[in-house]
Amino acid sequence: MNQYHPFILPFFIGFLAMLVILFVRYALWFRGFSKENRKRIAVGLFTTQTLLAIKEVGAEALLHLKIYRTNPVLGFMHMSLAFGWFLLILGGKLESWYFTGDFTNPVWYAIFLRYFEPDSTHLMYHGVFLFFMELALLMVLVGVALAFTKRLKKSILRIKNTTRHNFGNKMALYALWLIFPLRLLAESVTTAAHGGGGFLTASVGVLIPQSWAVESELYFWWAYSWSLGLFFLALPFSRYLHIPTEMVLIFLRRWKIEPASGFNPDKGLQAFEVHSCPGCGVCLDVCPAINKTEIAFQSAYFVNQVRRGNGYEQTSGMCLNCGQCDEVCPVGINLENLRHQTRSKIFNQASFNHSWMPGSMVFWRETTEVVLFTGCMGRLNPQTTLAVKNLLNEAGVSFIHMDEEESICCGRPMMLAGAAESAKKMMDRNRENILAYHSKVLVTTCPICYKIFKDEYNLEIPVLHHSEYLWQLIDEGKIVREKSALQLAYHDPCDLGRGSSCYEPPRKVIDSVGQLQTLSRQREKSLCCGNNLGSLSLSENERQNITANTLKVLTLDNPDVVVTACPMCKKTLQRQSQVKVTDLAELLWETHPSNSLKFSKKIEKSRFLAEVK
Amino acid sequence: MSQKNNNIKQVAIIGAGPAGLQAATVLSQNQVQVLLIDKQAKTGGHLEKWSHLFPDSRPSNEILKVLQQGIQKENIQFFKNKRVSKISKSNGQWELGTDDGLVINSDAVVIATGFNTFDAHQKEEYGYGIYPAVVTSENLESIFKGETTWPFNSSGKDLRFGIVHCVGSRDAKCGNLYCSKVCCVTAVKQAIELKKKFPGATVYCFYMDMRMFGTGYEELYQEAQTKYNIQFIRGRLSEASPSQDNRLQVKAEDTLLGRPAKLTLDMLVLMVGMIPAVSLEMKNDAVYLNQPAYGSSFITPDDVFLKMNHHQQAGLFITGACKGPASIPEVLQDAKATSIEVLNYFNNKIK
Amino acid sequence: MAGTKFGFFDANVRSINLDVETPETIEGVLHREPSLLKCIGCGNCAAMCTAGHFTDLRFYRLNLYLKRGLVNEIRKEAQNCMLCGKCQLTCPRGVNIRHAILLMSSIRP
Repeated sequence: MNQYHPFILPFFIGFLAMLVILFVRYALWFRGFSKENRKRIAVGLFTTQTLLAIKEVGAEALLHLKIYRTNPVLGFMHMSLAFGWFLLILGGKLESWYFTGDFTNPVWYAIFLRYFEPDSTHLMYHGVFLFFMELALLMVLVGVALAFTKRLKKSILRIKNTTRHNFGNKMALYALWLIFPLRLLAESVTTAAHGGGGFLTASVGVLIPQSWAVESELYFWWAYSWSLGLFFLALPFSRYLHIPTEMVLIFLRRWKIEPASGFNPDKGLQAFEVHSCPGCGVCLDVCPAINKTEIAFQSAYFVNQVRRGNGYEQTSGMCLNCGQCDEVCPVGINLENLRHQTRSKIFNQASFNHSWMPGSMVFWRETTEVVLFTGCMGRLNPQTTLAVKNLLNEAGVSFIHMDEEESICCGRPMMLAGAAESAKKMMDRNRENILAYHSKVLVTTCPICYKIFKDEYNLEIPVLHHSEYLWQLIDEGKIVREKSALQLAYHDPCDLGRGSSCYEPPRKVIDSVGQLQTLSRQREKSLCCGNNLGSLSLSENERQNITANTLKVLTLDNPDVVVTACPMCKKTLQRQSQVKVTDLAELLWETHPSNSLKFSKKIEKSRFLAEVK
Repeated sequence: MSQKNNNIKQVAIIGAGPAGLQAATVLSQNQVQVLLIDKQAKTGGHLEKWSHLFPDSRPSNEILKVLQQGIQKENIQFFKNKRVSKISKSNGQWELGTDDGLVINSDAVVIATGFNTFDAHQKEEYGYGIYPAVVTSENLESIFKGETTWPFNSSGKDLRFGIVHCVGSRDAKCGNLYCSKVCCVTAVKQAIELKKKFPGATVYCFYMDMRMFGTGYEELYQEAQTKYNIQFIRGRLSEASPSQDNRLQVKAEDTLLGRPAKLTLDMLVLMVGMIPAVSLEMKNDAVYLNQPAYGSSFITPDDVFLKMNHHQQAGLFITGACKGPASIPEVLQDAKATSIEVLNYFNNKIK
Repeated sequence: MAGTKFGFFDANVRSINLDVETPETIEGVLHREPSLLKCIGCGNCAAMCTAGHFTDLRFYRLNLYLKRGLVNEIRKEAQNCMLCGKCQLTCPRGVNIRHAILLMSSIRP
């Protein structure tokens, strides 16, 4: 039985080259792991985490369940390509094993089996194999067709934006597109020449004259082999490197590998992360800034620039860090961390000195229930602060407003700029001040502060956002309101929603005074107001474009009031909005029976203005 | 509508503020039938709310009276409480539609919709609407007129007032990059008036740049410094908050010294800028008068040198502060110029 | 003071020399954050600034230092910034102050 023909060489050489290159690259990345991380791999290898990783590889690398959940059509495209191809490889191997009775047959033999064994009718169950293999092929072909359509017309796949590619990626892409149609052709021509074939190849084969098929059969197999070889050769240098890398990443994550601090996309976990990005573009459509800026900076582009080693200097600082892409990334790349690391590299020359920070300003005071922190942005929203204080008084809660006079920044803006060291000193001073009050709970009106207080401060007392605390007071019956007919649209602040998973408390507060509207982009999918401190270099114009779009989504169903829970979002939205924008604390205070008449007049006025428009 | 006489031309004037009144006066004097329309019940627009005018402290009543007398003519008809929302032209005839369904026909249209004042609530950090002692320049005029009371104990001694220039003007964040032009001199005028009412008071003006462009303005500025000892601080305010003794605590930057300043005040006056009152939109051959949105611009003339009163179609004229911030004298002159353009149009001198 | 016999002795003259060409580093900052060109020095940033209540940090002045080529002065003041962004949220000209501070304090004389 002949198992060799020169036409397999392009494939085989490409395949071998890929293996060697992958091995060298991975080895280099592995060398970047710290001792602790290597130990983690050694320990993790023999735990159930490895099994869970295998299961995850199946679910994500083959079936692409996460993309499927975000966009079923796109998910199906990826699944049919990845899972279909996997079935072809697996099925081919089993089939060739069955044919030869030898599991260790050459790699190419299984791939080009139909050339070497055109007619399998002499074997039992050959029809089952044929059917199975051709079904898998059909599945991949559907995927290819969808991928092709995606490039031609995005809307069919219900996506608005796809990534743009450089030359290397395009080469790999075209090679990939050719592989399966060529396989179909090669197998069909062989079927036409020698008979056999399943439902797919036989039906195509019927259309091909036998004499011509016998003559030209080999050309097709050469072409098929070349497309495979080119693809494999291009793979380690293109975005398709994500296919094997993503699988490795899943294992690394399961083994709890910790990212090294610092920017190093050619070493350790960061190398595996940036090379796992398939550039699938799921992050594009969800980005609040998509098509609203002069230069596209979305994660798919950004990660590609990091891989290439240039261009990211400009795009890194534009991103709002709203966390929307982190939320949907099917590979689960820690994009926010990657961005912080690039920023700390870009601005590594910038240094700060905050030795001027005033020490604790606490004198002896009675210990209060609540220590209230309104933050820097809170100073621009005295109405919110006043409302919170009124509500605390209404509920009979004792409190102290610790930054009534001066506030030291919480440190998160510094962190977002990549200056973690300087942020740390500010955090230490703030922590000292907060704990000096010996209050039972820290309440803050600012989600930016809230996130860092909760995540990084290690305070000994609970940290609550004012929405959480106010809901607690309502729930305990200390604040009582009547539910009105007011139509209310709630804007989730990035750092409160996606950043801190606090979705319910603000909704419960709002729901207790009026009718909470359902929006097309809410909760995890809510849009950024446009002024997230995460962005350093977006221009004023670009920010205003983002704000305008967010407002459009928020006011689609003509709410009476747009409610938010962040001083920054409020200030930003308020300026551009025709509809009244307010913080939920203000809403709650203004719906107090003694204020509600005044409040409804205010709303009537803003409604009137909106309607005249 | 009114009886149509082929020899008598009709003009519809939208807005009965100084510009609209002045144009109505001149046109009616020239045998044009005037249909004057205003969204409010009274004529006078913002002038009606003002107590005294810069630069010579003339009572605004005097000017208003002259203007209102000018329209006491048979050939002027005043439509009150009508908000024009749509203008369209067919066969040289204009048709104006109002919100409540009224249709008015005319041979030409003059848009004299003027301006609105910036909503100071947007600058929440200044405390407007939160602390009663924070008022706008418009509110202060109504206090001067005796329509509202002082937001502090006016018999108190050592009163201290702050005036903030450029509230909602020269502010890209508020969507208004332009200078409202009249606020600087209004601030100087109001500062002097405050000193006249309360000679023992201290008045601080927080300015970005002093723009004393008109005749007699710089002289007024100098008088404010030398005769009234008004303190001019080049810098911005950061925020206002209540002080221990229930007055206002204000923080600001003194940019000429490069140091922060802190002061306690009895009243803070916000010099609110001018924003457009309508925003025009061309749609299906008709012009719609919309409520302006964030960043809406004033109405642009066809040519800032040669066609200052024309807007896109023959027979459609624009006049006064609907084109951008302007002082009363400028508006009155502009309305007269517009009237000549309208007459020329009726005499077929312009196409 | 000892020095020249005739004319001026200019070792202690405080005037900024505007005849020298703008250093490339400064051009670089302006290129990467062009909104700096919009500043009118109104002082809003400094009024808002918590650090400015305790230190010499005045962003509008940093911008002037930059445009006049006074690189050494920038660092001393910029390092006090907390990057909180209050100034930027209210800057009437829409200057990207936080980015500008990061770029400015990265200048090495």
